Amino acid sequence: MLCQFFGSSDYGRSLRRRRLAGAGLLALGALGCLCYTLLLRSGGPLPGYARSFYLGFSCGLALAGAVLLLRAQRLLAHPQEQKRARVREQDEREQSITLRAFALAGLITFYLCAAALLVAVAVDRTVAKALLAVMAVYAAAFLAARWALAKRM
Amino acid sequence: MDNRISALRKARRISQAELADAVGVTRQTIISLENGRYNASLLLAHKIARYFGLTIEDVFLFDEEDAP
Repeated sequence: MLCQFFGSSDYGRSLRRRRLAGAGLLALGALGCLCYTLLLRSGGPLPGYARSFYLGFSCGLALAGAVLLLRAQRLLAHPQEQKRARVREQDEREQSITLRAFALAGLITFYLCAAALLVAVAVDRTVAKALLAVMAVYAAAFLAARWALAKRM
Repeated sequence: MDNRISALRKARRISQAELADAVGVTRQTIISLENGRYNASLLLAHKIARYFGLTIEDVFLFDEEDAP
């Protein structure tokens, strides 16, 4: 769905959507920072590390949104740069490399989780359960994606 | 899969960048195709063949050993 949303055959339209998504992320991040300032900075019920995490997450979201927004705006304003970016993003070899890299990264993560599970099960039950949950979610997502793709092809 | 992209391009005095621009891919993709490190999709093969005014079979040399 994200690919369909951002990867429109009309690249200009895709950039305008990205600009909108960037503005949304920026607003969400800013809202998170505002919530932190108003509700959590002076203490509150959450432990210190959780407050820091939420602040970092909000700042990261705002930064990512700003980058997405500025890049899309710049490409919309400069047709030559837009053409180069379009070719780079829609190049089939680049897309193939990215897909293979995703597949490889997923496989490596899955096997590393399995290896870590063998150690964690003897050390910390909570960590072992978390690893098992990650592997289960990955396997379920893989099967669901495979089923959905098989129906479409 | 072998192809004649490099030979056809040189015969027509076309640069890799010009060919890449005409078929809508990066120059690196043309380099990889010419070196045989990457096999073009059917769509790209069609675009390249049409650019040279030839058929896909004239540009891309299918070998039975390449078949899965």
